Amino acid sequence: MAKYKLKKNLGKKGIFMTFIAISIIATFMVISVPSDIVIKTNLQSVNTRISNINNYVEDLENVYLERSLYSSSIKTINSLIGYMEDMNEFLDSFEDSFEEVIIYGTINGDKIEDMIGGNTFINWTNKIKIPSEKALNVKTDFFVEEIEVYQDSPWHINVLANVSFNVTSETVSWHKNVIVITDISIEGFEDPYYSINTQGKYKKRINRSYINNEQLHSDRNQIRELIKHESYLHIESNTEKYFSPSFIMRFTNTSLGSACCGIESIVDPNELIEMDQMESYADYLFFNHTFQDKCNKLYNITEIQDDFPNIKFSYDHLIIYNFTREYQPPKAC
Amino acid sequence: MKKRLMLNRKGYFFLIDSVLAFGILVIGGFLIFSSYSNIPSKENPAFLSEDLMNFFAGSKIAEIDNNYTGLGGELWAEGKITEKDITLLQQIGIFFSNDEYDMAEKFIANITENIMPNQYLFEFRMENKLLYPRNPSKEHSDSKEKSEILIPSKKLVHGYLDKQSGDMFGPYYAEALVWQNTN
Repeated sequence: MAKYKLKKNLGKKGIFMTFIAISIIATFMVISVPSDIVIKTNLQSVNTRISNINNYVEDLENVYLERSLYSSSIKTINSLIGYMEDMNEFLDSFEDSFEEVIIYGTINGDKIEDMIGGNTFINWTNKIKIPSEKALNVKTDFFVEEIEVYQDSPWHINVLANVSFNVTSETVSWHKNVIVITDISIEGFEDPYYSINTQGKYKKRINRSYINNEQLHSDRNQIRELIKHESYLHIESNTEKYFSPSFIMRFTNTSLGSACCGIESIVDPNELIEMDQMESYADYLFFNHTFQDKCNKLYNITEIQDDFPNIKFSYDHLIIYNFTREYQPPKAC
Repeated sequence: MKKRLMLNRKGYFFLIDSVLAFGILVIGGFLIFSSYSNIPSKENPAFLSEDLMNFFAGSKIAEIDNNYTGLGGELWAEGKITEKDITLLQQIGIFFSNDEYDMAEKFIANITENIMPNQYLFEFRMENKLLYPRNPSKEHSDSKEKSEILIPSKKLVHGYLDKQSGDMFGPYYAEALVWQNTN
């Protein structure tokens, strides 16, 4: 009986030891790497996916929207010029017409699809929706809240868009509100002042002159170069009477001066049907007839008449182009 | 005598116990290390397709030293490449936008000539159109079919065709697919 009890005790101890060994191994297996690998792999794929979508959101915010705004702004300005030439009339408000074209592709409610050709800002924001869905499986929605156009320098137009957008994936979503600003060089655009006022007979593109005030005052021959190359000048001055209209103001036939952004060119008499007109040949004064028939306020610039006959200036422009020193042009009458 | 017999039996019991524990350890270790060994072959092609796409999207024309595609190279001299500050992916996008698919294929072949390991094959698509290789060989297609892992890397591409006129191309989605050549 005593022998049996001893045997039984030893057997129970062995089972106990075996269970402990199995439990330790099982615990080790559960805690160890396989489960960890699954989690890590899943985390890595989620991280990569979120990182890819984040890159897409950053690209939208910093590159794509600016690029789209730039492109649609150029198309809008060209469309406005084309529309004005077709109708042969100036705009009532450049800012309102610009906003209407860049968002809706219409002017005064009329579609101008042939001019803007699917290049409105809204068109471009829509164009990225399908590729982004295919590439990243995300849904993108845009809301254009406001578009502003203005000038704060003579040779550039600034366009500002207030845009909010949502990017939604199955795991995460982004909501952003961004102010997108782009600036467009006005060089190369047609000047509506010339084309509309001459019914399309005299067209001129903006060509910036890099002559500064000092050079203009030291060398009177610069004026020949300006007319020959159809160049535009920005007159730097603190005196209001020397201000000329900005590029934007030329869409509404405004002859008021702009302190920051005024530009002017000289009308080439060789391009006119009637070469000899009693006007100041500074473009904005010429087309708005500020000095029309006021021969006592005009001076003949005889010094350059071999190349450009009949050019006349008011006294303010004699000062701008340095015709008051050494050489005094004769009065027109 | 009886006591000695009992002690011998005890040793036999512990011996079986340790063999059992050792067996469990071996099986556990085998399970752990076999799950490890699957991972690298699965992730290499995925990393390569990502790397290939990042190379296309992150390198500029000006940075490539290649007689055909690089600055002053054949395509540059012919006027087919005019912008040096755009990425390789954007240049492929321009070729795609102008329907110059053969040129896109040759461009991709040239720039990837020395960067793709020999044991890997790849395809490059834009808007689902196969740009590289334009006409896959049977060996290429068979290898792709046999491949167990095909993980694509996708990116969006857009840019200017002519900045002066505001003409843009895209946005297109581009896809690179890399796999191990099993042939």
